[in-house]
Amino acid sequence: MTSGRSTSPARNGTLASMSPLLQVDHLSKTFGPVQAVADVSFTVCPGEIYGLLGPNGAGKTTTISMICGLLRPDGGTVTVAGQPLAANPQAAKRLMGVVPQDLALYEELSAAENLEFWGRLAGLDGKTARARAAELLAALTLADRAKDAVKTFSGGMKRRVNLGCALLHRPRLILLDEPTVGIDPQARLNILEFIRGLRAEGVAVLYTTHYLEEAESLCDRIGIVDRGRMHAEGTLRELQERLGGDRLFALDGAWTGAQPDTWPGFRERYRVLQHTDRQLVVAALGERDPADCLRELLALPVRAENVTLKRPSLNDVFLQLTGRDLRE
Amino acid sequence: MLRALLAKDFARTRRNPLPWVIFLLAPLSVAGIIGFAFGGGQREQKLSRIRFALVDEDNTTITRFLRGALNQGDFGERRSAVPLEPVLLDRGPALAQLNDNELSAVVVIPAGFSSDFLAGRKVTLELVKNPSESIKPTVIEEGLGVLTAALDGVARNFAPDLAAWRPVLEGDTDLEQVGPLLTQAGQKLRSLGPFLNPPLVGYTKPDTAVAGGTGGGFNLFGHLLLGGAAMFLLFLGGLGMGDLHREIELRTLARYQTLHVSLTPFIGAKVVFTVLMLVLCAVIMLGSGIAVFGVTWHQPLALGALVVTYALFVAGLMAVLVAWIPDQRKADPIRSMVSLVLGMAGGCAFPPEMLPPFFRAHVMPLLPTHWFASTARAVEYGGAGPAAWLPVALKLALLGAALLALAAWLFRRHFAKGGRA
Repeated sequence: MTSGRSTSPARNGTLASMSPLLQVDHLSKTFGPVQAVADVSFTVCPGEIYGLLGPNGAGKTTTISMICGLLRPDGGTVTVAGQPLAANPQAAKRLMGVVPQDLALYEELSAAENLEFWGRLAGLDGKTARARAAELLAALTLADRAKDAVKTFSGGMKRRVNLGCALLHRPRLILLDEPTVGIDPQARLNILEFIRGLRAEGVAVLYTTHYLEEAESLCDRIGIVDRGRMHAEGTLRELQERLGGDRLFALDGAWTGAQPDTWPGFRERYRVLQHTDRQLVVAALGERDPADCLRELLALPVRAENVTLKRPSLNDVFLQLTGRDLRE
Repeated sequence: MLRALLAKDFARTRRNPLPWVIFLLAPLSVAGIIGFAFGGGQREQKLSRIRFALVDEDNTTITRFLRGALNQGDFGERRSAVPLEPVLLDRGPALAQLNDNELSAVVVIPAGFSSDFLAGRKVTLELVKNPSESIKPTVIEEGLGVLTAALDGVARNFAPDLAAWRPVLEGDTDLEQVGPLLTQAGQKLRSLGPFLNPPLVGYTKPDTAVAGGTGGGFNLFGHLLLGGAAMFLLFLGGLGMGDLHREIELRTLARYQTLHVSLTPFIGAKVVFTVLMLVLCAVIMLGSGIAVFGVTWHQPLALGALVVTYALFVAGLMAVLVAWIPDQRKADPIRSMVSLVLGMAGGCAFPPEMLPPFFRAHVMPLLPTHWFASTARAVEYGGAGPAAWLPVALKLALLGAALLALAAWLFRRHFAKGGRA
């Protein structure tokens, strides 16, 4: 388990050469007896989507709240475009757009009115705010509902308006706190595509989620957080390699009462990632020939009915790092 | 930015006006119901007739004179303005009719009243009020107060002569003795003239009228509406400033805090919005009084000044409550309770005279609701001039400003301590 910022050697060369737009160093926050965030560090560069992956209660929202100035950290620093947030929060906030997890919209107002209002508050004049709102509504495929009250919108449409409200002033850093929670797959795809578009424009994106698929498909780098701690970070490939690349085996069978670690030689060659009554998931340690592994696994003291060689998923990584399933 | 914030709040209110409309209609409904119940339907501000029983258990010349005075002569003429309808009954039937709500009160002249009075002994009239009515029995009580004051005056000033009058009034004397008694009484009355004229009976306030006001005749609807407005402006103010709670719940205040601007314009805009809405609502409420009940507001400028400064006070009070209790679930009942208590205790909902004397003397004068309601009523129906309403308006404005400053300090402290919207 790692804590603190890890530098990835395999990181995309272009991004690695850039100075980070957001730098988080040893951030901590405690609520009473609960350590919500403990010594979390990471960076986000322009044109990069950095994913904070973790279950509910992992500390993702608290981390984002400290970055955008809603919460004061107990320890650590946040630096935006080279300037410490604490020294000049207003300047840092000018560069940010924050999309909160909860919908923060005026339901009585139309989509266009919501966007224009937040644009005005972000410093745009009326004409510019109107033009930018129209532009964003078109990009979010909501132009035809621009004048309708938000309360008449579906969950997915509201999420898109919620996203748009943070983008009026063209922020260079966007903080997205689980922007796709509770919406249908089509709406989710729409939002993810929009976020990829932002990345293409050079915007730095910090994206929190507890959806593995989103992190896998969207994020350039992923930080795995649980119980307030950063357990690992890197690209998807780097994280998978922590489990021994492709050598991950799922063994179906009757595993009730089985104690694999007591089997002769097993512990030296395999690590158990998951153990249920019907399935045992193990990672082969070291450079092993998959065929040899297969032979060994079929000859275990408890007979496996079926053995599947699988590519490690983020969930497997999470399971290995935290000891629990992200989907639980 | 203030314009954008205000435009947003007005647009939201326009799209969802129901909560405002409910509190707006409340004082009109209350004034209507109570006003019509007491005969305010007549355009001339009169109460409906007040029927009461006079039980004469003494039945002497004096009491017959008192009974007769109620139906004849000058008092009889005054009945067009004082809507009394006395009936002469025995105690039993009178109390029975009172129980049946056919009478507002029963006045009993006890046996021996005249002889005790003429002997200079303490006498007592008995008043039984109908417990299911409030205003009409109070009018009778006030009238009885005037009558006893007059009798008391007679007893004190004519004490030496009363003994001589006794046989005259009991019809047991030589008429030759009456002449000197009348001459003596006439001389005393002449010397008391300056004190007796004009008569002391009445509710007008000649002192304040002389102060330069332009107060008009009493109007029950207007009287009730001013009190109702004072109370329901508190509820409306709670709705306006309480919208900050809604902003917290909607997470829009949290989103605002992620912007590069300070919190002051956001809260300032809410205060301005609330004050403007309160003034607008007051205009609608009092304006509806003109249209619906035929109320005439005699001093619109003074009333306007009182309304604006009272709105400032209400906004300040509600801002403090929001800043003090950021949790809407806790704040809502407290806000309602504060509005209700301030309204009731300030004499907005019913005649202040019905409250206990200690309360009227020591608590009521401290309540801004009372300042507003009593001054507005004095302005409209007592003819109070700037000397009366200007200090009150100033007091309300200063209190409002102080409360807003306190709210700002509470907000700043809350967020400085890391509190979240």
